[in-house]
Amino acid sequence: MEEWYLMTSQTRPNITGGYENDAFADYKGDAFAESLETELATTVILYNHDLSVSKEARCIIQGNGADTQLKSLERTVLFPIGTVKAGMYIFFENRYWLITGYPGNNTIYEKATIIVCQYLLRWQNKSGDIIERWTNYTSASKYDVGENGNNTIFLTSNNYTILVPYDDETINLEGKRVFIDTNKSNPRKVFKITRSDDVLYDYGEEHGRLLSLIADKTELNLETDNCELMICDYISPSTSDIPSEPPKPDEDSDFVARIIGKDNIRFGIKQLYTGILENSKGEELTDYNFRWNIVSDKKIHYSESNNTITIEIDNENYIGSSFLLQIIVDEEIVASKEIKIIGIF
Amino acid sequence: MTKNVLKDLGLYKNKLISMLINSSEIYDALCENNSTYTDSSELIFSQIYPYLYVDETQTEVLTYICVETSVPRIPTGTIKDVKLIIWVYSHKEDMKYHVADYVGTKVDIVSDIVERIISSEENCYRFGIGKPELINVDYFFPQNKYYGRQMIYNIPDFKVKETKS
Repeated sequence: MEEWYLMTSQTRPNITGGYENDAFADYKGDAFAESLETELATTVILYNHDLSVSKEARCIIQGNGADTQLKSLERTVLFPIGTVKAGMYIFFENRYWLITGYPGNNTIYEKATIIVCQYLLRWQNKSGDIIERWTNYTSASKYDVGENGNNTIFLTSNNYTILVPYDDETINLEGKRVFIDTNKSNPRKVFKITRSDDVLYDYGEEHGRLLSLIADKTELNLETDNCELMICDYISPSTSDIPSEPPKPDEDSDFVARIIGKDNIRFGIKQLYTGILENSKGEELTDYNFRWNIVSDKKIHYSESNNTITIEIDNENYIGSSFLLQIIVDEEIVASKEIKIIGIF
Repeated sequence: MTKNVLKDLGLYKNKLISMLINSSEIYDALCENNSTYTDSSELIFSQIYPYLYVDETQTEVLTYICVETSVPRIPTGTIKDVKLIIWVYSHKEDMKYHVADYVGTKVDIVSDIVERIISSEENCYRFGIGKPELINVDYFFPQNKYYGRQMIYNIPDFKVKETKS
């Protein structure tokens, strides 16, 4: 009976010709792609770390029926392999979700864990640009009563652990003060980013990277914090040494004059100011002779060199007062700057 | 007429705090960027206190003045020495301040303003016998986020006062 039996004990079980593995390899992608076309899948928008690049994608979102409040803040998402990295955002159900886990795959689909972002964090970088990132928060002081102090003074206390995509802007968040307050009309809750952990969530270039930060409650400083823009330690473009837009030439004149230098001069420290004449194209003009003029009832020491003037205040009684520094061309005032004299600290 | 020995403890604080809230320099220094006050008297119990602590949990970077009195000695049967303690302290993020005629950090400047108020011709005879004598000025840390100065005046006064009942 065995002579006509084509299969032996070594023959692997198969549906058609003994190549089940090949069938799996051929059709696994199609099977998942087909499931993405069904009602099981959802259309979401994928974003990069700063929301500058986006694309629509179909995926399967799992974990929608969570049994606890904490689990309801998380989901697992299935994508075609190679679609996502940690640090990307997924936008669905009108919320931004951050991909936090290392995306893994079982050769059929890619699976990533995501967590909901509760707050859009805003801060200003060194260049003065305002940066925003959607961030996830968990309490790092769950049983803190919210105040601590001593016999003299009590302050508020709170701590958050923040998850944010790792990029060139977020890496500089450590040490910064930020508003974390949903009250947009009168924000008062200010936190200092006191710790950043960049190693914990580093999954490599191919799989993405996150940054974990600790935010510690601190005090609102109305002198430096801009409540309207929700930016702490705000530097207005108008207070920088260089104007954000150069002044335009008058119709009657063929140049525009500027004084480059700080608005404040410290007692006892020499300060340099530079006078610049430019044409309408912004090209510097050198064939004009100008002179400096200081308008003040106080005796102010200075020395001139080409188009610069170095001023020094050596009398502490002048602190708190101000004077005018002017550029004069052909006996006409073409630029003027009020400079305030401040203490050394 | 009722006799009292310790009424001056509250009376000196009352006088000093009224001098402080009537000073535009004190108001400018304490309310530098805080325009929520409509009247300088609102500084009392918000930034100026008649005791050496601050009420309510603080949420803002501010400067405070606290005042207290004590009677460390009653050297004779008729004279008592009243010690007037003034604390001026600021949040560490609020130490910079610039104003004409004054030099230093905000704490230095506010302390200087307080001293000039007390020693002014208008005010110096309003406490005790003679002028208040500044006997000690030192720095201290009220809390890890704050830094300030303690000023101590000695004011001799009559031990027993009489007030109309």
